Amino acid sequence: MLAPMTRLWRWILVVAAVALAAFLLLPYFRPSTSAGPGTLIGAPLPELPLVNERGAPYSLASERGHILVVNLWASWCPPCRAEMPDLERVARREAARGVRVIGIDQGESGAVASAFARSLGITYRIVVDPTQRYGRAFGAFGLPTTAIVDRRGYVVRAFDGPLTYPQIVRALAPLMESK
Amino acid sequence: MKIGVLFCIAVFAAVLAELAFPTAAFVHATWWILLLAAIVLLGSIRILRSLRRLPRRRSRAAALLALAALLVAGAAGFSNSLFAPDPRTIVAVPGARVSLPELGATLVFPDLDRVGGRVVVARGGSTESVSCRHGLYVAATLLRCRERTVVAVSAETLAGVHLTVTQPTGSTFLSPVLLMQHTQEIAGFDLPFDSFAVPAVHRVVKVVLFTAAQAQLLRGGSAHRTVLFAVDDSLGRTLRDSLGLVANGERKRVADLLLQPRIHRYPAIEVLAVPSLPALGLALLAALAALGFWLFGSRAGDPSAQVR
Repeated sequence: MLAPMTRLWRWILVVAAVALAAFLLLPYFRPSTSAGPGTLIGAPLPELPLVNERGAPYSLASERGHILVVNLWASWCPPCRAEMPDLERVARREAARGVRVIGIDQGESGAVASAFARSLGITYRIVVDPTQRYGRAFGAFGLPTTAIVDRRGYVVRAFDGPLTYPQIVRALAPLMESK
Repeated sequence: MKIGVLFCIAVFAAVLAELAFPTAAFVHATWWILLLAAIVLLGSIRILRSLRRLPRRRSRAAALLALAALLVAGAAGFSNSLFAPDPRTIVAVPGARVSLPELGATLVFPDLDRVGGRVVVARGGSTESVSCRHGLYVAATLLRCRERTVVAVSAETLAGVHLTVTQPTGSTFLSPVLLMQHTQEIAGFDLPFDSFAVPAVHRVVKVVLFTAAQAQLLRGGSAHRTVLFAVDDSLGRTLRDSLGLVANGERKRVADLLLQPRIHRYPAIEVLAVPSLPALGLALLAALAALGFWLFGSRAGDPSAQVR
């Protein structure tokens, strides 16, 4: 009776020692930090002070209940300019399915941002983030940076660099299917 | 057995020292690792030897629990000494979110305007904050706050049109908050240095920070913290009137820009490896149970003792 118990205990001890070693050492071999817009995924979209083109306060909370395409841009940024017609297409074609496109200009004045948007025939909402807080909160590596936000206000996808119409629609598809 | 208990106490003391002084040089020194290993080894041998001589079941249980406590605490301290990564400091701009996969946590840095803002640690559904007074232990890591000086800059055209500030070489591209992580030697001083770009007007601006005392020496008057701006075009060519000393909060023309610096103290987070807290908790429980068995184990209640 004693011999099988001893063997069992030996195995238990070996397994316990291996488990303890794995538990103690595993944290030291995991990757270190990561940053960038991807860290926003799964988190609520930050609600930071914004102003419209006339300088009046504007909050993204007023768009709650819609699927949002939040695009950080600036007039001096050539890839942003290239992407804006595709965003306009999304805004026009998908509005009926509850999609809203919001362009958040980073650090420029409302007059500059709205004049630039008008020159490109942009009709979606343009607002200004004068102190670039969204740029910081998004951990943007560059411009443009885009986040897709669900109807509850949570970020579900985030992208660095310009997107095309098919890419945006593909990212929106799961949200438009689930109402 | 008593000597075994002393070894056990020695291991706990050593591991608690690692916990209390995570940045001390001894934690990762070879002599410390060897000392810890020797204490665990000798203590284990001592307890195992005494095990054979213990007559009562409760005493044997106490010895086994003490051995478990010694091994678990020793392993926690040993793995921390031998494998723990070097301390690192996470310096981020206000509002930034930095993920720490090894902790399954995300650090959310506070807004610059918030006085005494704390960095929030979001883990799963819960959030805790790290202030500069109290660190936060998470599993095998201590998160500690350290305040640094940062400079928030604002750039405008001479007509007062606000311009985007970017940091092509910084950690966060779209931030007007300069983290001043580099140093530049000027007039014998090692001074915090950073740079930013104003892409709309093709300008690159170098920024050097002076304390009030240094500024007074340089300017012979003003006793405010001061920033030196040096404006170049995007090809690196120096412009006319391209150097400007600007006091904290002042708005001044430098080359063809209106620049305003605001100097702030802002938290950075030190990530320090410590012995695993869950493992230490387990070891402590085993040690307390051993103590209980040892102190309160009565001969009358012990069937093996009654047989004898």
